[in-house]
Amino acid sequence: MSQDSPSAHGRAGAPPAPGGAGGWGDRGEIKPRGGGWAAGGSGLGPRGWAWRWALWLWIALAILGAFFYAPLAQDFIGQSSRILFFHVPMAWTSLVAFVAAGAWSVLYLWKRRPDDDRAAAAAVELGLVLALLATTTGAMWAKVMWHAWWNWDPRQTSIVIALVFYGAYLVLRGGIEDPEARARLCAVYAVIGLVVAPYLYFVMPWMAKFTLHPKPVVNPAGKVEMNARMLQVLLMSSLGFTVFFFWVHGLRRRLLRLADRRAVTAAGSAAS
Amino acid sequence: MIEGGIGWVAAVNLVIWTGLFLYLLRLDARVRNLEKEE
Repeated sequence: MSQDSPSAHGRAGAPPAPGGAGGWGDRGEIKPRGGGWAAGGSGLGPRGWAWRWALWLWIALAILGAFFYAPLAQDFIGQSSRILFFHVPMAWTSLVAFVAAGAWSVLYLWKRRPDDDRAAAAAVELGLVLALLATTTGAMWAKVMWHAWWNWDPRQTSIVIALVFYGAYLVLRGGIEDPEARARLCAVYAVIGLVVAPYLYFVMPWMAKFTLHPKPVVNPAGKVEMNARMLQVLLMSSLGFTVFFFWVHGLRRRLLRLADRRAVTAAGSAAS
Repeated sequence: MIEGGIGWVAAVNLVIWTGLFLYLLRLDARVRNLEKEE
């Protein structure tokens, strides 16, 4: 089988049979859910609406909590500690994304389902966006606290390496034309990331002898050192960001599948 | 008046989140419709 999928992640190759069974535009189908509630509208069922609006409310409450419920952290300049409730969840969710990409890649190597490959690619894309946002919010905080946007602090350095590592994943995807070879090589790369990402996020900053960064929420002895209200908001925000990631990830994955199917159909039409 | 205009920052955050959320809801609906068409 050598059907191509010239989607956003790849390039056109030999024209495939349109929509052929087992093809890249067909396997691993994600069926639309919901039964046309809100007639003529989104097709979301009541549950679909409920959890999405619950997520909106959850994150809105986390935002209000960050500004009005959580106290200011000691030894921080002005209101700068409030950015913690966005910066840390962004960094955390980027790690979740990279680990999820590795898990989907393991699934791809095992089952060879194109949808797992698309899921891994979508997770890496979103992980990069979140890591970039974490880096930006971190730099904003550093400007206030350390009087410089960038200091090559161990955590700053490790997240830059993570950005380069996963940026290279997307470059790899764009550089291989054959969809199966692309999926296989990218899956192996993302599985390596299962070791690299935790190392960069946890081990490398921990190994550094000096850091300007605040102490981690959970100290090396396993104890949580944070004001209870701050911890509540931080956990609320982290959970909200994680659920948000899986929602957007689902959307991106479905869009990639649609793009693959259309590309397969277009290539088939051009061939005939 | 809340110190340092933090209320305004919170309001801007809420507006951005609501805007992003509504955009994603719309995108979700469009993707669903495209899937139905296939």
